[in-house]
Amino acid sequence: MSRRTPLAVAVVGALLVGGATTGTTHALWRDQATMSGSGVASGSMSHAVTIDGPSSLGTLSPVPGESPKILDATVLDTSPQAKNLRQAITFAGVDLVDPTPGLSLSQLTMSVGMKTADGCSAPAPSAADGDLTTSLGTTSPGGSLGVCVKIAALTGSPDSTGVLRLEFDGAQVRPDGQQGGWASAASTTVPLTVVGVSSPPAPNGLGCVSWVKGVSATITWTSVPGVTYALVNNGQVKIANITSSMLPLTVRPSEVGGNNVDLKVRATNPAGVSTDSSSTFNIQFQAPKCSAS
Amino acid sequence: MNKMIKGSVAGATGIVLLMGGFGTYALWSDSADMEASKVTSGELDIAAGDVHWNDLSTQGTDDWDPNNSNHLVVPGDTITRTQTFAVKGTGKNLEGTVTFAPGAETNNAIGVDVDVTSDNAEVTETAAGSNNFAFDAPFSTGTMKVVVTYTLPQSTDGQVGQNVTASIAESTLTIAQTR
Repeated sequence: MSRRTPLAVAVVGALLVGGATTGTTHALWRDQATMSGSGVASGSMSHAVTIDGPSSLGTLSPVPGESPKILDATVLDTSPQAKNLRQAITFAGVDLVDPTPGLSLSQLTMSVGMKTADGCSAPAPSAADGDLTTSLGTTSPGGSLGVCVKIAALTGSPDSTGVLRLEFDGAQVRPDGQQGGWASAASTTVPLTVVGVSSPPAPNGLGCVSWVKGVSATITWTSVPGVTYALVNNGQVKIANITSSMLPLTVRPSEVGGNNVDLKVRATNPAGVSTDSSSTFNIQFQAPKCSAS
Repeated sequence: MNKMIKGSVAGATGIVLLMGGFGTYALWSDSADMEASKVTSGELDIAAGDVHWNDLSTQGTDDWDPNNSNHLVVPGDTITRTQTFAVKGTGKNLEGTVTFAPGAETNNAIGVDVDVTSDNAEVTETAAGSNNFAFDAPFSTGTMKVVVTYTLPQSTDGQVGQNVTASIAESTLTIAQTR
């Protein structure tokens, strides 16, 4: 070992010690804790509509006084379970798909309500092309609403067919009732058939039976059972609800609007459809004279 | 007795006499006690605490269960995951930091927000909303609170944001000495 060896060892040792106390080689305390990963998932909102029972309305008869057809449907909340999800269901309206000529929404009357223990809460049908939007109620996932629709055809509607599409909207509401958020839509269809009622035959065979000057005239025409008749003077009905059994009919000036009148005969069938005669009675009570032409 | 024997006896006697004379010296002495002493090291520690899930939209407590398949968020929901972390920092010359390293976030339509707070005034946030803290003195004990907030705004309309997930991966909270 040379004389310089101890000196070199000392220098190296001093540098190593110095390095341990300066710069980034400090060994300071440190501790760490872990927060586990976490997450949430969102749900979804939807609903479906099914027709209860027969999937057809049957035949609508455009006859006055005819009871409307009632269609029962169920709106099912098909949303998966979600803690704070509620859905307000609204009847959004109707549409007519593939109607045959002559059929339009304006010829239908409808109303919407809820199924009840004893029937349907819907009011009397109103025009379908009006505002039919109806709030039906609120559901939770898996819940349902029983809905009913009253449908009728306006008097005089022709024979026709089509498919009625009933549309329902869903709008999210919070459990406290506050609205806003998701929306959903669903619809269902039902075939529609309208069987129109034919017009009654125009009254014919008009004839004068007898007349008494200044007092009366007795007239008749060919009648059809089930059809009611009226005498019309210048567009105004003077004598109504004349049946076959009342013919021949004796009329007086005060009943028909004067001493010199022209009267048409109007036939009306049970559906309320009317047809006027092409011929006219001309009665001149003071002449006296009665003719039909 | 010959001369040799007599000489040996006399020598031995002399040695004994010399040895017996040692204990009889009277020399000065003194002593003092040094009291026992010690130092104790400080502590720097962080430990994860309980986790609570709350459905803020219903003002409930612990009323959200992430393991319940029926607990899916819908527009208007605000869900929080709150976890506390107990921290200790003792030692006269202790200075250091508490830093939050968030895991990767997946949010889709659901917003994810993380907020870290300290209940100890000595442990202060380095910048508002940074979720990083520092202390320049020992603070004894404190609680760090990490709140992860998941929000699906009620303005989310149509069919937006349905059947999606939002998450934050494993994250770490580190307390480290700087001096």
